Amino acid sequence: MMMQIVCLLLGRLLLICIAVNDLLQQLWLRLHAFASRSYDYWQCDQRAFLGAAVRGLEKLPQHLVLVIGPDDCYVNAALLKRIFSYTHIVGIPYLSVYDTRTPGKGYVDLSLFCQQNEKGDMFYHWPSQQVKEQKPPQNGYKTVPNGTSNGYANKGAHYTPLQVCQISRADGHALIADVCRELYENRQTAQVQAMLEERQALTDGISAILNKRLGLAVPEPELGIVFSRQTCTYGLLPWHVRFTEFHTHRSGSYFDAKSFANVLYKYARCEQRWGK
Amino acid sequence: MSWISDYQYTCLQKLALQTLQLTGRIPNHIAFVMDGNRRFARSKQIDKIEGHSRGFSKLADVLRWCVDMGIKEVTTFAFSIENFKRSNEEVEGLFNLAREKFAKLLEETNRLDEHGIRIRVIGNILLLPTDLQRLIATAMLRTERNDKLFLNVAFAYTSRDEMTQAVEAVLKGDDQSDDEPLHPTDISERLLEECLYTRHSPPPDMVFRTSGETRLSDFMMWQLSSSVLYFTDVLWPQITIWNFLASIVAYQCNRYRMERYKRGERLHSAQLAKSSDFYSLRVQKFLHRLDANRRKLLIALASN
Repeated sequence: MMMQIVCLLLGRLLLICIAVNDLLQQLWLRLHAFASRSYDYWQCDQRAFLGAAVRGLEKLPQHLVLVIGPDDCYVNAALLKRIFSYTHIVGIPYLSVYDTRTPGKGYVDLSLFCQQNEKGDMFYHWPSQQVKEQKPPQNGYKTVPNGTSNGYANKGAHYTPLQVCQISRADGHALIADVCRELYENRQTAQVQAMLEERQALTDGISAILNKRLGLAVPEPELGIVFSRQTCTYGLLPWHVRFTEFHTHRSGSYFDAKSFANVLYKYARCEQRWGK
Repeated sequence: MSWISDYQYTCLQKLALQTLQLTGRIPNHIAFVMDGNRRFARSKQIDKIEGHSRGFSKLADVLRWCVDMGIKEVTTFAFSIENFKRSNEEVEGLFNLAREKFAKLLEETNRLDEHGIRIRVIGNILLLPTDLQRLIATAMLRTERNDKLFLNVAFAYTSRDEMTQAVEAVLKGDDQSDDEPLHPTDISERLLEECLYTRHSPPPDMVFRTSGETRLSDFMMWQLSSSVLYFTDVLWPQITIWNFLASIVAYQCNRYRMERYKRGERLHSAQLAKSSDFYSLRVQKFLHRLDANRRKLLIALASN
């Protein structure tokens, strides 16, 4: 009994310490964010910084996904635009955004600042045509007719627009169920019967239908940045993110070019073994 | 080495364990990705298989900690379908280790009954050698009445294969049956969830991955949409009770923030069940047939 009381008291103390630490940390992060924002305002050619940062990297993801947790209140259109520009500068061609918040609680509609793609409602180009037209050419990044800039065939800056996809909850589990329903309705056809003869054929068939429905003719996301207090996928594309490297950016801390470069460094350092 | 170790706690460890038990919510279900056995073997200059064997010894310790902490369900990722790409020597070595451990498990079933441990192997076990299939099926059938701790071992498993298997179960569900077939409108996430290998398990509250990797490697991708993901740099054979307790503290801190999201998920699932006639006799009979077929398969494999 005595032991239990001691444990309970210790536990309460531990929880209080954690809560106080959490609060102090959050205050510090906000203060740091404020200072960094002011610093970035006066400083910094981020294009040159990111260009130099990615030059030493062994690999870059082709497809980056941003996951915004339901409790996050710091990711807004301005931050997303900044991340889009970092992604564009380093030369990552595809970016997906999975915002789990509801419209009244911070959800960012990409159509407000991206140009809709002819492929469908969830696909966009960034920067939009208007923004590109306003942008003066910069020294050292001369645009060539094929849309890429000199010296950056695969990595580094280029001016082909970034392809952005806004993923919703309906693209996850619900879409797999839809595909299953479609196959069930056509289960007597020769095509579905052929898929049922071998598990791998069915896997390939589901992949093809899912990609067609999603309009994803791009690689599966290789890198994910989770904006939340904890790491969680929140139901993000369960079929597609099996080998995605997740990095969590704690809500409230400032996200700048350096944070982005850090995530890319971590990604470049990790070794994918593909089961081997 | 037994499946549950006789771990001897120090006084401080006992105190910490009891403190966490009393002060916060304990996760019901933890999933472990036991990564880093080979890197551990390399660092200690021992054979890869010895590294995997040490990893298994650590699993026995972890299971003891989970039992003593009051965790009801543990899922471990032991062997991925992707691991068939490894050298024949390593794959055969892993199968031999599994043969040895499942044979040992069958010898000590009384001990498992005493702790109420039920073993479930999730994955495409038909990809495994016949003798291993027999051992696995026998172990599952032998412990099927236990209900205090559920140990799910993912063997020859990938999440994509599991989801495909669920779709396949729906598509083939009406074969050789006189019952009313499923209606297309019955097919929803709720139904597919019930066709997964983990049909009788709640989703994991926390996924614990060792060795510093921050990906999920095709493990329980469907189930972990509201799980807290906990990544640590320690290699699996080197984890200590303090690493385990640190993960429990992290879960307890994050649980409050996740609770609202989880409540929303539960509500969505309940609405979906209602709108897709999940509780209709037709769907329930289908699920009953699914269970019966899976059990029949186990009996057939055990008697091979």
